[in-house]
Amino acid sequence: VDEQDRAWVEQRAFNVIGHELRTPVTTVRGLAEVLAANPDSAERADLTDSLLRNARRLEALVDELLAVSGVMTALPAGPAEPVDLGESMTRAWPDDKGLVVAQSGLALARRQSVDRILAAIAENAVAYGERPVTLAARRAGTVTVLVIDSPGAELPGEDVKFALEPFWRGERAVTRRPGLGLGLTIAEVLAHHEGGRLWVEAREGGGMVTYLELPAA
Amino acid sequence: MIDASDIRVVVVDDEPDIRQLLQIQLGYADGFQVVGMAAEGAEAVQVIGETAPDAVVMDLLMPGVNGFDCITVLRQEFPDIGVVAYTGVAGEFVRNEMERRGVEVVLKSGDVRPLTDAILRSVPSRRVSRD
Repeated sequence: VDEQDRAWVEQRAFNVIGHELRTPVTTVRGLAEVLAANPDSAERADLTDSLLRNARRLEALVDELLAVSGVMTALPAGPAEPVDLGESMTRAWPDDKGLVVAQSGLALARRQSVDRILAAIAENAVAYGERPVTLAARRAGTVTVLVIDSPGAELPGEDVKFALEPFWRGERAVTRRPGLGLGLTIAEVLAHHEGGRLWVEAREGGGMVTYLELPAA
Repeated sequence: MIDASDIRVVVVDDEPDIRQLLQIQLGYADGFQVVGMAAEGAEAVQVIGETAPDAVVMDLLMPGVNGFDCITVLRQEFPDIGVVAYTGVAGEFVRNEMERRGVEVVLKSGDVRPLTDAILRSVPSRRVSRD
């Protein structure tokens, strides 16, 4: 991603944040206006529920934004230990379907970092791809490379190019995606923090292949 | 003056909370009635065909058939129905695309008045017939 692309992606960030904040802000103010003008509204209980739900949503969005700076300023500390990548991914997977651990492997890293990286990859695979997702680790000299094969629709080139950029949520024209698009960005930072790297490639036949390289245990 | 009490509106938005909010806000606003709701464009075309509203409040960024494509269909199949684009973000691209389709853009806001004003402007044939 060159400087021109980066400026463009950063500009997108404001659009994404603005759009995601707009719904809860609109709802909170709109419902409050209705309640203020109609304090005896028959729908008072429903309105209050919706107010609360949207206030919580605002809080979660702010938390997600702060989590990025939090990751940058408070990276996991402590000694590295052998971490089973297949086990970590299985814990992160939302249910017991569609994850195939063809070959697990051991990395030497902080467990908290690995768990967060694989949780982000799992979330991304579930949100954007199809199942099954297959994991295969291999040892290559001093590193372990975990290959996460995630089938899905043919990806536009930009989805691969920008996959790790903040606020990128896949660009299928103007179809809205939930979330802020920060998961893989945080994962890449954590991979570097552990002395490794993270990258993605388009998968032959559609979908994405994610590579996580970490020091081998 | 237009008596807006007859203005029948279909709301199209993928966010359930926005649909609920608009139903309540338009219900309390003088002269509007929400007669149908849809979560994306294909469902919207069906609901609009069934309810024959005077106006449609259309979100633009939705899964499934998005608002841009849906408005194009509405302009062809239901040219007499007023359309207002109701969106969280309206940059140059959105404004140009909506101008090309002759659709007013209203930014989502807790204040319903800009939206009701735009709905009234979107149904000029009714305004003429009732003035």
